[in-house]
Amino acid sequence: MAAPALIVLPCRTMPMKRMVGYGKKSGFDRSGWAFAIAGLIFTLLLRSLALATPPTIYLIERWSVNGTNGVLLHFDTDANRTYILQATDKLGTNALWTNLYTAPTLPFNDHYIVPDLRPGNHFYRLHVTP
Amino acid sequence: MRTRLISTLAFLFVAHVAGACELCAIYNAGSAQGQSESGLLFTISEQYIPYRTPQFDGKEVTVSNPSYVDSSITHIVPGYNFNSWLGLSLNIPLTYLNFRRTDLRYSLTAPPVLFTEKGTEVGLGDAALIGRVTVFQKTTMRYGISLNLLGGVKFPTGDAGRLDNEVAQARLFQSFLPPGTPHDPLGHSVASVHPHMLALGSGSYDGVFGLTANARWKRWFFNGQFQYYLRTKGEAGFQYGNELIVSGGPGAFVFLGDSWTLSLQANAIYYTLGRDELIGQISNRTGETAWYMGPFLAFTLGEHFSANAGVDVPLRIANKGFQSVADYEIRGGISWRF
Repeated sequence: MAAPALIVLPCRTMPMKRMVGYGKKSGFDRSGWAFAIAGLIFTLLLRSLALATPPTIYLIERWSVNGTNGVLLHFDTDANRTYILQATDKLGTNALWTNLYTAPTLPFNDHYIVPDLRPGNHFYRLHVTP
Repeated sequence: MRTRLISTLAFLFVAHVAGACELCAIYNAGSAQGQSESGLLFTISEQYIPYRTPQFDGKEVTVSNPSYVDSSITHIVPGYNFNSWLGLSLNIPLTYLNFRRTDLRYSLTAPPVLFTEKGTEVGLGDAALIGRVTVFQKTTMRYGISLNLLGGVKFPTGDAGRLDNEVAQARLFQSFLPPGTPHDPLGHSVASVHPHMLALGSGSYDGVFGLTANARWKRWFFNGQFQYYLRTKGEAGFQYGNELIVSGGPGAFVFLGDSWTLSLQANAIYYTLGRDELIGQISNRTGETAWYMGPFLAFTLGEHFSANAGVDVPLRIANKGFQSVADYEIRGGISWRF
């Protein structure tokens, strides 16, 4: 059996741009404070997103069990996010992605290894929410 | 028997002469607890600990449908004091574990499966034979001091079958990784209750060491205990982490009758459990250090009967990895000295 063709497609691009805080030289009025607080919250939100690990299938290795060839897919997960490993047999605008494995949402980072011994060629991607 | 009768009569006489002889009752309490007299001693004690608080690296976390295990261990302890300074006891634990756990099960050919199992584990735990040597003892009506050394062996009498499953999963996960890849041997698991927490036994011969110190002055006393469990490799090569328990605190005899006593102690516990080792690697997802505190009551009746009960509330539990840690601990027991 020929080794499956593989491709890794991150499902979502993570914003890496950080927003810095701002302020006036002398005291804030009420709207100024509200604006500053909103800016701080937005900055923290962007910072948390920037610190999140981009969803990446970082290793795909050949795997064989009793003469059946396939692959092992490795990926890391962040805490409190849901990761779904998806696969399709062909790429295109009408590609049908099926869920191969859903990693449980956990309060800590982890590492998953998913064997795929299905015959044929497959493309993989990792979907993450939120 | 005759000697005991005489001593009892003498004690009653002294008690009568002294009126409300508080110290007599206190002195007698030590005898009921088997601290000094020779003969057979039989104790039944119970320890209940619900492990229902999920924590990750020492901080409580929120998860849906958290895993838990409620541990109830009844210790049946027949013992024999050869004389006032040498004794031997056999600890036979009967374990009841009520649990629910959600974890991943890896296989060679398919994606890992998230499963939830719920049930009970009931049976004999690992029995231990423990000797006591009193290295120092001075007891009078007004005060008393004693220092005991404990040492023994814990035998693999409990069913350790669940360790086989845990080690098999660890080996399978390791086989998925390129050779030399650093990883935790429990990297396959996402559970806060691991199979090794549900094993009734360890499959290993372990060393048990201890030291107890008791000091009393009139109504007041201070008890301290030090226990160390030296673990060795057991079932499937799994080796539990060594355990150290230091406990004790000040107390007082709050009620004293002619033939009974009731004491109250402020008990503090320092507990540290080392990391477990499996497939030749130490797991950073195991082990904890905890501090508990709580009241401890002890009751004695005559020279033969004693009972105790205590509650320990965790002040802080610094665990490693993802684990369900203790909510509290309740313990109690009764003893009869023949």
